[in-house]
Amino acid sequence: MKLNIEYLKNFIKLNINADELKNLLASIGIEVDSFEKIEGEDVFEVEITPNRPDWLSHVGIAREIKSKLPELDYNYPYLKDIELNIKNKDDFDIEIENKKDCSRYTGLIIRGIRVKESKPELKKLLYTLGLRPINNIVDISNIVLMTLGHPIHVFDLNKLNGNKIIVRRAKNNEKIVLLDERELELNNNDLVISDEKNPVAMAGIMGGLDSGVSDNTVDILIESAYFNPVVIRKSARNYGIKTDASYRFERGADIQITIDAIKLFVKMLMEYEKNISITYFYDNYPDKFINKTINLPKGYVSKYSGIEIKEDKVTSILNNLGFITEDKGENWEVKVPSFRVDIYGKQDLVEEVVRIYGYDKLDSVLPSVVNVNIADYKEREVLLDIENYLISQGFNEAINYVFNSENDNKYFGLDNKNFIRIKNPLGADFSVLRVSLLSGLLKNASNNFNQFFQSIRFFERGKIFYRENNKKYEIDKFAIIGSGEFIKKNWNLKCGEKIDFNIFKSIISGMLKRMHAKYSFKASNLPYIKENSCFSIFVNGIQCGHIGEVKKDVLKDYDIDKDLFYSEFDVEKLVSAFGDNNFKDWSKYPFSTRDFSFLIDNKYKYSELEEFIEKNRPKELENYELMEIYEGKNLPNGKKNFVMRFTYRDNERTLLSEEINEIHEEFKKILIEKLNLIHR
Amino acid sequence: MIDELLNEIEDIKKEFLKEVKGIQSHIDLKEVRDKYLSRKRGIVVSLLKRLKEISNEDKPIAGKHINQLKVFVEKTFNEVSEVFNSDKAKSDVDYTLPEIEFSVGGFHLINQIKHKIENIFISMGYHIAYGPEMETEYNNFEALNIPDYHPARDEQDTFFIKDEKDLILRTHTSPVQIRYMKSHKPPIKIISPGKVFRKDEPDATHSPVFHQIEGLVVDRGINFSHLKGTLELFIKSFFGKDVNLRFRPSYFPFTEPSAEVDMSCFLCNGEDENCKICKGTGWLEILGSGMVHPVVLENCGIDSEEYSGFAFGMGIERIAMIRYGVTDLRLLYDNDLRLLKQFG
Repeated sequence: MKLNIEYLKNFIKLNINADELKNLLASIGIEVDSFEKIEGEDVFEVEITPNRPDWLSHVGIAREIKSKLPELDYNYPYLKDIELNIKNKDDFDIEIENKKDCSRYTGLIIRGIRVKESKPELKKLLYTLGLRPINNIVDISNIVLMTLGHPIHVFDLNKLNGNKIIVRRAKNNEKIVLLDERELELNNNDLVISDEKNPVAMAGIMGGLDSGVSDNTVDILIESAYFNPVVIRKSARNYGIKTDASYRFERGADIQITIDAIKLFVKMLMEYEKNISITYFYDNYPDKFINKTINLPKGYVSKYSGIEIKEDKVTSILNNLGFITEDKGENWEVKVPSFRVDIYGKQDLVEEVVRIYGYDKLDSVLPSVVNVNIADYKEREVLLDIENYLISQGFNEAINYVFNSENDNKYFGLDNKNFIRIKNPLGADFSVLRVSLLSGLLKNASNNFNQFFQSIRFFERGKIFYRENNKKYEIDKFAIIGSGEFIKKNWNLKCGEKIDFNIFKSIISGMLKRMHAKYSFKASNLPYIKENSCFSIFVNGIQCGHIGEVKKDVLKDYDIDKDLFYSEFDVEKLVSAFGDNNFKDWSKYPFSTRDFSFLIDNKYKYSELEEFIEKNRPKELENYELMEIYEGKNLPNGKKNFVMRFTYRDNERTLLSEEINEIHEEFKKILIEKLNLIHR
Repeated sequence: MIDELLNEIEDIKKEFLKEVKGIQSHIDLKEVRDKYLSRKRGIVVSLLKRLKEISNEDKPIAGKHINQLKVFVEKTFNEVSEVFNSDKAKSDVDYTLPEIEFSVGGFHLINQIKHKIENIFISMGYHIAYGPEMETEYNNFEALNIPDYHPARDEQDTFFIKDEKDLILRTHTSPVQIRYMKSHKPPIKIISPGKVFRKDEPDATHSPVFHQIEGLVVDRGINFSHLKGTLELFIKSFFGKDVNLRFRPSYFPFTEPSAEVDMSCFLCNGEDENCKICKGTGWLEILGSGMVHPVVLENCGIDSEEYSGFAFGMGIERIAMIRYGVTDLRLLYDNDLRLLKQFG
């Protein structure tokens, strides 16, 4: 809202400059967004929070300044000499269909006015407030709004059908053309002002085109009413209309000010018309306003704010703000003024007192709250460990939007109907929620390859979303991608290895080893992963993720022409899979190694050999590792050559060389027999 | 004339000693040698050429001094040169060759800030609470005292889930507080970090997805000054002990009283009119906060006569912008390695 400082001074005798005023306003909760000179006058653009419609006027802000600086003179517009005396009473009526929709409607008819251009001072004032002068009648009603904050509307009386207006709900499909020439088809949720035939205004929002004031208007009906905020807001939102009037009514107008608004209108009109002929005045006000009362215990403000504020200070601040306080011994009975629609309970009164007393006077005290709930940081610790490991392996963390296009979601084996969609998306590229973290990471890989980065390593933790059998799922995932260079070529490092399946798998295994977990991989199948390169990951027996090489046609969609590897975990399962680690004692006796070179059928995977060794291992076998693999010529068909090293050690004594030989030969024999190995 | 020359010789000697001490490489060594001892343009040779300007009477004295300088320079230079050469010769490894570039990654800047904030609050005894990103309208609005058709809903443009009556993407992490208060009895002392969503077109200062951290404390006797004390400790821990706090009255439907919290500009402290961070105002908006509205407590089954609480919230992206000078929010979601590597 625009606030003209010169005009404001009519209502409060300010003795401070614009900068000081700005700080003063900020200190009581009115933020000044900008400060400019319009037509040579200082004008603030102030931001009013939605709870304070009473600040949406110059008088309202003056009243607030007065409460902070009680020594200043505050002048409410002088209206006492405006008498609404009726001559030659018109036969007219104002009817309210439902007092819940409209709890007050004050109407006044003036006859024989002349519509003309406003005087230059008034026009200038309008310009400074960002309003366009139209004619004296419309301009005056606008100034009444900016002065008192109450919207009034003026009808051309002679354009109304019949001698009655009715405040009622619109009939379904009833039509109205508004002042801005927009035609609306109304329904029963909308509140209208109607003459005896048609709606002539949308209550509290905008008047109708046909009943508006024109240059030829001579008789006018002035409306000053109070409408239900929710009804106004529903209609305004439904049709996307926001006017100065609807803005105030939907936040809550002051029901007690309707007559003052009309009086101010009349007072201003008297500058143009010597004799004002009032022919009708009716204040339809079925249930008179009763002030809310709040019981405020006397020590409460100090207790709730944490600072000692004296009792007389509390009452004087409240009184300056327009509250009436009555001493009831232990507490005050506080009457809330009609313009304070935001005040409900004693906490609201604490804010009022402390706000004016000064937020800068609050103490800084640390509360002595002890957390008695049980802390569970396992997930946080596990994730941080894993993430720190990956960072040391050259991975960067990515954070992607959860929004995807339909296309981004199509590779993950889910049907369109499984996607969760946004009803009001920012566009097609943001219309569905992601069903995998891979889509975002592929975009990141592609963009960074395009920036000539040679090595792409990312991890991301985030939610994925889908619908299945009418249930909605929001699952926490942890994903890792790797592609391109593994270690950069250098003057003394000639390898310049590319990330391949084994390197990527080694990184993931390292992560699980880092967590001291037992893990295994089992062949699996995913629609976006290359066949024969897709594995489920089991951690301590729980299946909690996948690993594999992403299919070329998926990569092509993201313009990636390099091999790219992906692994994804379900966070909840992964975290649950990790257990505690217990101390294991180690042997104090020396170890001894024996190498074993043998031919094995190609059909055997290393994991099968490993499984067999695990099942049949002698108790003295401490460790074993694969030293070499040789495949190719000079070997019998269908065979490969492994060299393995076995480490033997006993927990209780030093093993003699002959004993080890015996154990080793015995073990070899079993392997040779059961796995068809050929000693080499 | 002779005095002038002798002074000059003293100056040359001092300058030479300084330069000799600064020798770092073979290139420096050669430069110093050429400057003083070159047979054509060396300083010592050029001094000898000037002997003819000296009166016959003073010539022997001048010659003697120049010669002494020559001997001194040669001797010192040879000593330094010898030490330098032998030192280098001892090591046949050129340890200045470029290292192997091992790839080292890093946390995303947003999560670095999040971890830092979490750690401060954990040290103050807070627990961390999480909640879903798809939330019910009730938890996101009604329970927080934002009824339907409340003007405050305009300020948080919401993404709605299609084909669902009551589901939205949460517009703040406050519904986590609702869930926590419903499932835990006071005393409550939590922070809730997470992604939040608002229907804003991405531009330099808006993002449809951003991150918040909110805090909530509920117990008997919690008051407004406790909120100030807590936030002051947090802000000073994060930004430095010289930073000051300013509370301004504000409005949030779920707190009463409410306060907008500004901190003094950590860069210029209000002393630079053209400060690019605070624009010369000296203050930076950093947090929204207040005493938990009694309606919110009651909605969660907490007796607002017995208990009171405070809550606060901040945007992590905003901190990235003011603290780390990130100029465009969109950069934080591009995952461009040119940005990530700067902070990794």
